[in-house]
Amino acid sequence: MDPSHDDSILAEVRKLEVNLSSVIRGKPQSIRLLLIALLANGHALLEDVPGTGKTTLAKSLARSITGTFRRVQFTPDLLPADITGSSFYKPQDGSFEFREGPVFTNILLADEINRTSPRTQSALLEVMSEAQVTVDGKRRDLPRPFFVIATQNPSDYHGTYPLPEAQLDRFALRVTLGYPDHESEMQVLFSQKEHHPFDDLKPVASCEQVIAMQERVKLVRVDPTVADYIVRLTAWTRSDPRLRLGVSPRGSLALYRTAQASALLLGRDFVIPDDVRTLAPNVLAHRIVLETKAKYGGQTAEQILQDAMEQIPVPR
Amino acid sequence: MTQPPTQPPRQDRLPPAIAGAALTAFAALYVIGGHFLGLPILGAMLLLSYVTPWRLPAPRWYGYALRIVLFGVILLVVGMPSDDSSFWYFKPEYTSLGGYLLAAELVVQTWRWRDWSQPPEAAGVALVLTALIMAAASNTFRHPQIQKFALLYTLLLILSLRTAVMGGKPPSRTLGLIALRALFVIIALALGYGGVEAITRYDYRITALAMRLVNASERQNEIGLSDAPQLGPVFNPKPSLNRVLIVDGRLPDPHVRAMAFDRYNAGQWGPALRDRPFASVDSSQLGADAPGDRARVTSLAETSNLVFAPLNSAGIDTPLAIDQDREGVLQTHESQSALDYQIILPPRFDFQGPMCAAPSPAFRRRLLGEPPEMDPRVIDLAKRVAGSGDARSRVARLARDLRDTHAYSLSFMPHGEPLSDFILNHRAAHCEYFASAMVVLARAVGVPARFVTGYYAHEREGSHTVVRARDAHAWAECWIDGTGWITVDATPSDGTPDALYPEPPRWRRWWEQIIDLPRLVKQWIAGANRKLVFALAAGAIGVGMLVSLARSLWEGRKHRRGRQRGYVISDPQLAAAARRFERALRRRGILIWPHRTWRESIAAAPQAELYLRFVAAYDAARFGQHHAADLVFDLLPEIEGRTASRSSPASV
Repeated sequence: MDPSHDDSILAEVRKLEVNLSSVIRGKPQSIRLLLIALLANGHALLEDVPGTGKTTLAKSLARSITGTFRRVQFTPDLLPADITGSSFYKPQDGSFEFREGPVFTNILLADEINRTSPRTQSALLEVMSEAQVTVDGKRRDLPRPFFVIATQNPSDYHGTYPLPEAQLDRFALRVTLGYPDHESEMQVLFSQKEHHPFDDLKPVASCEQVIAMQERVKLVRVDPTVADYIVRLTAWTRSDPRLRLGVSPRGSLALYRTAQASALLLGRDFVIPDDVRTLAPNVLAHRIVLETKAKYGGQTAEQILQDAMEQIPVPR
Repeated sequence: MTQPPTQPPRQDRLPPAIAGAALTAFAALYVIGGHFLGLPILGAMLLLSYVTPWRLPAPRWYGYALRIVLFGVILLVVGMPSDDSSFWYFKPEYTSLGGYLLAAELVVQTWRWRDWSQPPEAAGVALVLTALIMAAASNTFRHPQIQKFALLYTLLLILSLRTAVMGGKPPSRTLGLIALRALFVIIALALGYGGVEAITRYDYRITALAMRLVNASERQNEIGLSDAPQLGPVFNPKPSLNRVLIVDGRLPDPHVRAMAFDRYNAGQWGPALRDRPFASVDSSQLGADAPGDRARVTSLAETSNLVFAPLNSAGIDTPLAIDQDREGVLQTHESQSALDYQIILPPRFDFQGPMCAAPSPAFRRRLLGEPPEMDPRVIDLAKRVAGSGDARSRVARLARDLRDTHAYSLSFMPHGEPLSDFILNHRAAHCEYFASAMVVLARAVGVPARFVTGYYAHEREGSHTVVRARDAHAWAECWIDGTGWITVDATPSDGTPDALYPEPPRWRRWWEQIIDLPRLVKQWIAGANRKLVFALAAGAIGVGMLVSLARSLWEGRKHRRGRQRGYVISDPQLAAAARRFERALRRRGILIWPHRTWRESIAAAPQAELYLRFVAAYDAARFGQHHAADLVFDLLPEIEGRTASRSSPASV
């Protein structure tokens, strides 16, 4: 591997990181997780209470890349065709013309994704896992890179539809932003004194560079023992009696890819078990479903994953 | 991202306060409960869990194997509690043994891999176990030391309650919370002290309550017999279904005698038992070694020390000291709450056993004495009915005549002298009248006779005969020259005194079978060869240990195979370096968690920077297959402290 090439890729990633940090204050970990999802060629689910900067973070990332960016506000009356696109009758020559929906983009922001019905949410299933759309029996590929950032607000219950498990499984990572600390929040106040710093954002990476980064991530070395550790972790969740649904093989793959991306971000060309362990809550927790008894017994998916990590020996 | 997981580390050591409370309870049990050497060992094992990070993973089979071994060793060393005929649930031996077993269980719990900072599940179990051990210690004996132990234990209990209830949360400093906590402490102190006080002060009452709960209906004194029977208008007015005896074996004669009387006076038989002279008899006089089938008798009720047996039994076999009077009535020398003995069944129905002593001439005159108030027509009647012939045929004719001409009735309203009225006019009454009449009539024709009370044992239940209080009965015994004492029952309806009583309901039978189970187990243990029981227990434990060993070998092999399949370090030099690194850290007192990465284990350690340099180099060599092994081996001597004087090398 050419180290100079590595350095240039790392430098580009760092530029992205700096760009995002200038808008989202005090959340380096969330920014990094979002970049990991992008680099791992996955999708990210931003989940937090209103006003913590979910949409701003997504828009900032879109603006930092010279690709197309579309945004869909998921409302209860949205229909699948509003997302994927549909054929229109052309009176001039009597033919049908396909008009592309908002998914034909590089970065798609699905805002408040849980406010639309499962029917419309399902339109994203094929889009997210295969980066393609099938309408009127015709398959249309989406541009590369294709990155979905969905946001949802977990504390609202009225007028929301919880995401189906199949949909949740298609997100590589779930990121929670959380409130900024005292200093960062003051910085937020001052930085928006005149205008939003978001308006100053300039693109720092091209689509080709992002694709190159994604290809580079795939070359990061994963020792067989580390892969074994990943599989043991996911297999453990499938046999725990507190869980109704364990982690799917797609989840193992996501953990594998994101661990590679994380290692690259940290300047390594190999994955160590620490990468897996720090990412596991973000990658796996939203994929598992608790048994009713465990759920109402006050247990959370994160706690159960923590149990798994405390019981499976770590390779060293 | 680069930080270790945000969750607080698991607290896998028993919180010190709970450990302190547990050790106090161990000490109390040790000092008060008979200096069992296993307790200090268990305490040491509990403390050992602080030194090593190794734990029993989750509930696995070897947790149970360890329990089997520990419990087995305790049972073998302390031994089975000595068996005797009275069963006292809160006996010191039983409670101490229970305390030892609980202590072993607590140690096993301590060694389990679990998070003690999670409140209810883990710490609660430990607290309940310590409380039970303490209760076992304080209930064992009244001991002056218990107060000191109780005070220390209560203090530690309060400290541990904080851990148990609040978990690992940081302490808060609001005044209200402090006040609340103080209140909590006071209440806990009061409850703990009060509890220990109550147990030490009222242990006898607790025992009595437990016994009443366990034995429910059996512990009543309704045995249906009086020690000075009186001919009243009704017999056994409230027939009770309480079981008095269980006879294991078939009695040839259902008449099980309890008491005999020879003096009739105005409707009352005497003398009362307490007015009689009793003499102690030894086992040879009781015919304990006589040949013949045996029937085991277990008494379930307070029977005022009486020993029940058919008149013609060949012998009585019991380890207890027995007294006998001249009527052949047997009773134990000392008061017993429950009796358990064997009757040797007679080879013939008129066999003369230990209860059939021939009467002396003076006693014989007494047995022939006619009550002065008796109507003279009774004697005439007796002579007329008996006719001539030998004593046996005269008695038989009298009994047959009574049975034929008189009817059975549970109530009787006498006019004048009751017995004469029954024989001559009012010819329907209950068994006591028939028995009394038989005695009077036999005496009138010159046959020595006495009045006997006891039970008519007729209720078969499998191989057992159950005797209930409502089976109480009365009959006569006559002395036939040349034969000896024989039982003469003149009551009609085949002598079944309870013909008018209903059968015991079915639920009662079921209930009796359930409450008999502990007794049967106890009898089996008492009856079985003690050495055999021990050999069986030791054998079972041995087999358990062998199975455990085999399984651990098997699991170990599987585990090793699994490790080879997964986490093998292909480079032997790196594997050696990893081992040296871990050894060096352990020597420094840094715990290496098998389920965490090195970075997480050393994060808070002193000199973490040096270790992190090693880990980074090692990871590069191990997971990145970089040729950084040189750095790994350069750093090792410094980590191992061999070149501690050298400051960090410039080459890094």
